[in-house]
Amino acid sequence: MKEHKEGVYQNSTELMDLGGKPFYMNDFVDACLYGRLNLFLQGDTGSGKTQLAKDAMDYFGTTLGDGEFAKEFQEKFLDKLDNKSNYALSSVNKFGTDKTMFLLGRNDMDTRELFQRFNLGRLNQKPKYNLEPLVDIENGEINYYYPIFENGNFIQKKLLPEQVKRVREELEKLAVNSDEIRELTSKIDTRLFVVDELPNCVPAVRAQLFNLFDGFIEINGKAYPIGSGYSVGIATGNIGQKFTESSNDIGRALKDRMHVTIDTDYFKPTSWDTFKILSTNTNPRVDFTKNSGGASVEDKILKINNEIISSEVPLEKLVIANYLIHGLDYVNLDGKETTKTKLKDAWPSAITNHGKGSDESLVLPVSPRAAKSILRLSQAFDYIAKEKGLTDEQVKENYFNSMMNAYKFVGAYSGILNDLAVRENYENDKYSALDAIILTTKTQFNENAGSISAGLEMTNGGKKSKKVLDKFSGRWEFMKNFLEKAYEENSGGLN
Amino acid sequence: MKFNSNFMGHNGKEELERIENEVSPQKKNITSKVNSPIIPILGELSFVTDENLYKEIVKYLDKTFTNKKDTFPNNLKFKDSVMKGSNTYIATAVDMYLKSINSEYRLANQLDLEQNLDFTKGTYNDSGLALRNLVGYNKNQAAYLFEQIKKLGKTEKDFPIWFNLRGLNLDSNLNFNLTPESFYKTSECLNWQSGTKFSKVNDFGLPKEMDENFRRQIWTSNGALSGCDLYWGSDLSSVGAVLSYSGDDGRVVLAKPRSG
Repeated sequence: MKEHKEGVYQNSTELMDLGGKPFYMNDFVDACLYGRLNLFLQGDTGSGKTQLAKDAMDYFGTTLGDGEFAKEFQEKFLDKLDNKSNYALSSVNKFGTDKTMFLLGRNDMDTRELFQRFNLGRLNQKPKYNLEPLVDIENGEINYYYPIFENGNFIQKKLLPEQVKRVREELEKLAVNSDEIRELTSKIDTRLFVVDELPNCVPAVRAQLFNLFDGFIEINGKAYPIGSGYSVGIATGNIGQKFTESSNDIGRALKDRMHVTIDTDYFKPTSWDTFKILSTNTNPRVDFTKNSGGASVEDKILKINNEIISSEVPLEKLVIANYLIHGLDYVNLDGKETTKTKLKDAWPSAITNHGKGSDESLVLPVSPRAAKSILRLSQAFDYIAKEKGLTDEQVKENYFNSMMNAYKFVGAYSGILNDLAVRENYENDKYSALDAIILTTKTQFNENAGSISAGLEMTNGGKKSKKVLDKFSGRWEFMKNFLEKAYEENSGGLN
Repeated sequence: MKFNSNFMGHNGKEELERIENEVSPQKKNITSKVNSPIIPILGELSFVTDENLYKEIVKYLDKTFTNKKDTFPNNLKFKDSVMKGSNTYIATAVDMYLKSINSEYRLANQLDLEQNLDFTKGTYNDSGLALRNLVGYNKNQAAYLFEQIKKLGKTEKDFPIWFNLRGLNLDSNLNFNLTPESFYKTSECLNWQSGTKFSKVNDFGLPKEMDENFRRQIWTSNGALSGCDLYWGSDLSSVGAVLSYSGDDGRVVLAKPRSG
């Protein structure tokens, strides 16, 4: 998608390569949008992550292209607002056709307010009469009276208990409170949320923001879906290495909501990029008034997303995903085979011998949910690789690399790595640790690919082969189980 | 549910036929002489299949590298009539032991292993070290080794350099020290793209030239000092970041040193 490459953000550092086609930071943003995967841009202040997110907003028709509103607001409150606050306010006020929402992480925020407006017309439904409750001082009972005009006098007439009940029920139906005079705004159609400096928010606000990333907004106990089936979030922030630790609340919450995390400091712009950036603009602020120039590609993104989610996932990728879930769960403790899942908190300290130093003590298996993110991201990578010129056949040849790259960027900050081992052996470089695991995985697949293909052939109606099944043991035991089940199913339960 | 059985370039029908026709590999049955810890071998290569020799090795490791049980003896076991487990340190230390008893057998170097790849199929065998830079993982050990060859005229321009484990000496801090027997040589293949395929090897057992039509591959990294091993009788791995890593499929391979 050529128009995606023309954002204000500039960074020609390669994050990965697929079939000889380099992938850059903005390709990753595209891949996340195509796959509808929430993206967290981790990095130090000033690293350009907000600008990158702003460029993504332009894909969905940000209406601040001419900057008139922002300019007006900025001039009026120049001495009171920083530019991000300015943008947040203007974005909220420009609800028109804009399908994006920019939120600056603040502790006084109530995201629900952004989705509601007051309908004062409903106030007219207030009933004309109300019942007057009076307490009988003799017995303490409450009696209800209603006003009538009788024989030239205005009197209060007592209601019978059944009358009280009926009238109260009807009145309650008409009564409204401040919550009920609100209704949803067009912001419920938002496609892309950008939350800047998310870690700055207190947990209560973060919880609201995370709902947006999950694709809904909760108002008065009811969940409303956002974006008519397509909404996605980009968050930025600098929370260093510590946020993946289990004791850290934001770490756990982020792991749950952010499907892909990229360390923008790790892949910082090249000297050539910064030369160009600095030579053309010395304004240190993110330029919110400038549109990246690309036309809205909302329809195109939605179409690609639909293609990706409806296309069949190749078997090769499914086997790889299964390896990441089950194969990497395997651990051998002095000859006793078990799983890291079963070891729970005893992992990795329980591994004191043969597996120490291997991927058995370096990485946990991915969860089925993370495996879905990996598959989705890989499919999006393949789509972009085709846009960059790879043929279907070349894309197919690179399925493994595509999956491994997706694993790297979904996994690095997802909490699966043994942080201590990464610190000791990989100089605290999560990506290097993942590279080492990927290398081992590649070796594993090179060794076993022949046996896997033989196993698949066996399930297609051939004779059950003990020799083939015996090829799979240890971390490959899952493949044996899969092949046996598939064989049974294909042979109608006879074997 | 029918599957396409072509997987990562492998043809399912052909692979199924190949596996069905496989004959169980005849591992060399090495008989030991009762009174000698030295391996009497029938061929050029041998695993440690004599339990007496295994015990002698463990005794030597315990005595020479005190307080390093996790690196050495805890990684070794004698099971199924063979010593299982290997890492860069163990392989080097076994060679030191064999040298100390003037054995006619020493640790097999990469060229020895290349002579009979079938013998080591299904196992990995530590054989060397790759010195690529002074900034990646294991950089302290890399610097220690580099200081020694620097005195012998080598510079960083000579990177990447291959070292045979045979002929190196380990000190108590697990630093590698050169001896008059040490062999090292600049080897460009250690900086080839990881996964590069090759067929022929040079005169010290390393990939000579790239060959896209062959299945053997060399795995490389950007570590400062990496452990190198022949993996399952097929690929050459030069990416070992954790030099003390040992697995059940690790085997120390012994060989009669070749003349010269």
